[in-house]
Amino acid sequence: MEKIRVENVSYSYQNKYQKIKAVKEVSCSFEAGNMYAITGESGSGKSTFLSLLAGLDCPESGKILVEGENLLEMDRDAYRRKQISVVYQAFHLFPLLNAVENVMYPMELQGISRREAREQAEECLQEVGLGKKIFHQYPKMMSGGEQQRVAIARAMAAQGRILLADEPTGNLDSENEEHIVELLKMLAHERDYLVIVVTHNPEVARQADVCMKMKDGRMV
Amino acid sequence: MTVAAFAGMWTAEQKAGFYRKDTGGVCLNTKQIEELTGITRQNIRYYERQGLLEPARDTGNAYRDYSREDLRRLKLIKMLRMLDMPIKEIGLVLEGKLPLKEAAAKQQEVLLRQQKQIQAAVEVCANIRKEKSEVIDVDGYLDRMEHMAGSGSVFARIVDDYKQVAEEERQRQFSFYTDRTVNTAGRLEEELQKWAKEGQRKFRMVHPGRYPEFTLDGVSYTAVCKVEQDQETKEPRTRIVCSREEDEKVKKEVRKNRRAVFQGIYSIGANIRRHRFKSILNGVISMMTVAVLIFYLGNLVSARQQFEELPEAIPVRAVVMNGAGNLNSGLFIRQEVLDMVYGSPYIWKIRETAELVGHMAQAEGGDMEEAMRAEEPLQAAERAGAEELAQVADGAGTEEPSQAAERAGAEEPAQADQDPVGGAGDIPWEDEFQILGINDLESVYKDCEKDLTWADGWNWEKFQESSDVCIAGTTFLQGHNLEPGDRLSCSLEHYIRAAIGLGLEREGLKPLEMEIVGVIDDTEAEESMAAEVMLPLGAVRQIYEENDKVYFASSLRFTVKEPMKLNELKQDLREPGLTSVVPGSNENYAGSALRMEDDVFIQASLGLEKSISLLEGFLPFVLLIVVLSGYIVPHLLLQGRKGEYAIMRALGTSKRRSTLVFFAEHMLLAACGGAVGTAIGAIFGTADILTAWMVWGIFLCCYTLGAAAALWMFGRMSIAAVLTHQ
Repeated sequence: MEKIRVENVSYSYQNKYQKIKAVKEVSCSFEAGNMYAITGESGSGKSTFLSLLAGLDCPESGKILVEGENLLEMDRDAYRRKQISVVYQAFHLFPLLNAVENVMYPMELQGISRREAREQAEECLQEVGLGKKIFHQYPKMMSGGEQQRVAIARAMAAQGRILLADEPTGNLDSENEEHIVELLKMLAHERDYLVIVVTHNPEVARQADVCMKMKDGRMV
Repeated sequence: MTVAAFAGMWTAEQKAGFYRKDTGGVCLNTKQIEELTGITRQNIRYYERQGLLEPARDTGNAYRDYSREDLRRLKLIKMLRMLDMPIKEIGLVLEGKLPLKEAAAKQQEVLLRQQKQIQAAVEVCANIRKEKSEVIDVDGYLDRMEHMAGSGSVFARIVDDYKQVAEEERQRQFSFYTDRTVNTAGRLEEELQKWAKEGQRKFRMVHPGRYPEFTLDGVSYTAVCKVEQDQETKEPRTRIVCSREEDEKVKKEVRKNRRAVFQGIYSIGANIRRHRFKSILNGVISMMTVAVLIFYLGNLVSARQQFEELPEAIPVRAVVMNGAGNLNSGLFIRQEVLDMVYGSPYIWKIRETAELVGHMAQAEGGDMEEAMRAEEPLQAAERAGAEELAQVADGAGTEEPSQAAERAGAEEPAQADQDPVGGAGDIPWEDEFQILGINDLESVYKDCEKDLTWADGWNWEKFQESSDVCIAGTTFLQGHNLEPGDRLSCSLEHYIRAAIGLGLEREGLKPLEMEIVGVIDDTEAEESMAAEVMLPLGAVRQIYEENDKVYFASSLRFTVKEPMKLNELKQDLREPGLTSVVPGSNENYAGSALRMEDDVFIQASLGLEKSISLLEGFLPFVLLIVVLSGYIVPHLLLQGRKGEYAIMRALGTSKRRSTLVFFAEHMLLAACGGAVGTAIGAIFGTADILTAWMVWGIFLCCYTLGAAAALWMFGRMSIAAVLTHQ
């Protein structure tokens, strides 16, 4: 089932010196239950494209349809809260919250009570292979792999079935990289998630169900 | 391959055990099976959940491996679903419990019935279209349709609707226990499907997740897992509670809103605790900024107040003295000086005295009247002499001493002839006493008012307005056997400057009789009285007028009312010839100099003026610092949390909520810090409460602006850019 459809989307941004067209008339679609890899060189517009899919930026032209609904016409905060989760290369955990509290955050946004959110957060952390000793640790006490697992657990705790990952293994060693990729694949294939991974690592791209390449802002 | 072949093959494979993996066959993955069958992955999963298919799982990665049999099964399922055969029927066919032919026959009947229903509906629609008018006979149509419903047509669905509504009412909430632990969304979904299947309910998942939304026979529900303890085994077990979504939505909305408020408050408190250092810094800066400004303003207000109160705190007093500055009473102070002092707007609390000498009337063989008559010629001569002396006093030191001596010598015989003491009339005067004309009781001695007792009906104001009255000391009265209310008769003399030299002489005045209206108990007074008998000053002036003498005050003191106008006052005082004291100058009795006790006042006022101008000069800078710190501090503190804000927004926290949480957190700290600073400033400073609160208010306004500006900038930033650069 088609989950996301992108129709002729373009996006530019202004830096200090010039206007840069980061995404140029990209059209594609994504289906649930698959893991997609978007590859390309640095500056090809992959991360920018991902931020458009995440509703963090607005395309200047074109449409992004999520389950038939135009993203531009949606409440994008609600979209990010209920339909998607994003995992980053830099993990972006709250530094002053421990692992459980980080995973609880999206659930508290949904209005779930702290007690229930805590129970489910602990379950999610266990599902991604983290033991109880990690629960009350703060991000600075964890390894990169552990932090990324916490980030994935946080993504799982949210309601959404779309997971966007921007270079999720960029800061990890090969062993952790493998574990993270396996986790993402499991989510796609076993839990019917739509997983879109932006990566410049060919090993990661190879493991995806569908591989897309971007060059100079276009999907090639 | 024909249906029969399919059926035969299934029967054979059923005996072999259908759900075992064919280890000798080709394994296909989900993608491949999709491509081969044309059935989407989601549908395949659905059939699996319905129990129509159970592919093997790879032991290594738990992925599905589809066998050839699975492929064939799926194709059959597809075919039968295209015939609109219910899932339940297909399951029975696949299990071999219902032969395919029989299933097909049943389905054919169903389709034919549906065809009939559709036909009836088509006919009704055609009839409605034929109606000429837009207004149709609805009752008539309903009657006909209900008649047709009796024969089991499509309109019977209304009856089903009633059934459904009744069922819905019954099924607002229900729950059931599961055989296994449910701790994932997938397992929850499986358990719901299983339960629906057992209850032969039509299940459809709408929004999967930990709180899934699904329909049962078209009715929307939500589900939640709860872990409870089994009463018998004491083991934990899972109970799934399903609630009607409409009711749940309303309840959830209310709970959600309330919870959102409490969570917001909790977040603010938690953030303050987590960002301990920044919170303390924020509070301390707010407290110190407010306290410093309050102290500053307090100092300024206090300095201004002190400046205004300085004349009262440090009164500037002046006293008329002689030129050498060694006499401040017994002087000859001219009327011009008196007029100037009394007429000056810068002077008040004037204390003037006039000295006289009294003699108690005590005539031997004569009487008081004869003695008084004998005085008259003498008084005329004395008046002439006094006028001369007055001129001498005015131009003090201008007359040659020899001339004065000659004059005095020439006058002596005349005076000797006329001197009442031992002179013509031969009246023996005893009991000389000092008389002082006063306009202030302090002239008698300090705080003498407490020792003064008035006769009945008398008070100070009445005394001042009267003329033939006096106040006397107890010692004097006792010595003369007098009491309050008695009349005191005496003759009077006044002082004149000696014709020769710097001495004083006396000159007789008309005798006086006055009533004693007040008594000063001087028996235990710490200071001695300035005179034994006091008269109202106005009465003394009157005496001089009646005796046709020139009045001179013997002492004059005053307080400067407006010390700030000292220069103007000093200018005015020079007009009647008052100069500064010149120590070592000729000693005389002329009240021609003024000693003003203004040193302390001038020093104090200069110091205060300097302080005030310094404080006022720096006030704009201090205010600027307060305004800037109020604006910049939240700006800087919030900039350090830009990343946190971006993460919150990326996770779906609304801009409103993020902004509110940050804003409330910082404002709370600033308000509390500022309140503490206000309290410190109000308690230990000199500013009043109103000023303190005003300062707090100004600071909070600036802080609000700063925080709002910082958060406005947050709202404009690109979240993706912030997250990418971090």
